[in-house]
Amino acid sequence: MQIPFVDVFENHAKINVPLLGLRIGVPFNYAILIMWTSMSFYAIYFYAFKEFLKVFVEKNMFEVKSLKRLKFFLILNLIPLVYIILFTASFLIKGKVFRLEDDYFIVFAHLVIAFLLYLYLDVVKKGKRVQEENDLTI
Amino acid sequence: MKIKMFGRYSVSSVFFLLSIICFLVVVVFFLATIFLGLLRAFTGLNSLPKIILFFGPKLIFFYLLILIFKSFKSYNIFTKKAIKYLHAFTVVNFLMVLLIIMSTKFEGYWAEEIVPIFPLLILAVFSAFIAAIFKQGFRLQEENDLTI
Repeated sequence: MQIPFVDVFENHAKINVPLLGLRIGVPFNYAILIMWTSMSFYAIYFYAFKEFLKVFVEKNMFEVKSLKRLKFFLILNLIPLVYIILFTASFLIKGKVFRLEDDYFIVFAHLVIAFLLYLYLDVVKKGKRVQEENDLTI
Repeated sequence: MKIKMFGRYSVSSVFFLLSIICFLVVVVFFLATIFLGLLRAFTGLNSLPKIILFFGPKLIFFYLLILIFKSFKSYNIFTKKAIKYLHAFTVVNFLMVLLIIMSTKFEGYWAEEIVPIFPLLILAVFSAFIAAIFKQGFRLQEENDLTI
């Protein structure tokens, strides 16, 4: 494989930047991809967290808008479950010794938050029903 | 998939039973530590104030959980009682955090015993939020009852 300005070695590549004389090393593994995915996931997660906190700031919280926000945050909290299943499956496929790591604790914390969010969702739904009744009687 | 969170035969009623069991377990351990010298020697809780400081917050915590889930079990969840219990639960959680911090001997920057405060803090904040929702719900419910 011939690419201009790029030297390919066994487990990494070197990019030669012309004029500047820079040599940038690029490792060939998936760690960087996993890092980028987790970082972008948490960027979206904290945006959703901001939206979730907005529910409590607004004067009237029993609305369709706040239900949508809570649902979005709930779904985001369930995504780490998919990751941990893949993680465990990779361990089992490789035939490595199964160990309990920090990842499991983080996913457990996400699941607890998801449960509490489901509780909120139900409370807000009940409140919305009361609100609708209230609006109809006036 | 729809899971029933409030009312009869719901998740709240399961948690109500679980919190009763936890409360009873704590009571049994509390009494056993007072009356059995062997357990006192094993756990290192050798004086009555120490035992009360160790078990008291836990007893109050589970008792409040029982009361909260009892109010969640009923048909009408937006009640004054529920708000009161949730506020009390928040305060108890914060007090437990304070107790843990005060009882920790800090050697260096980080102590392992400080880790249990994080779930307690999360619980405190979430129960404060639920109390805020309940307050608004209670106000609406009251308005609703008055207009009919």
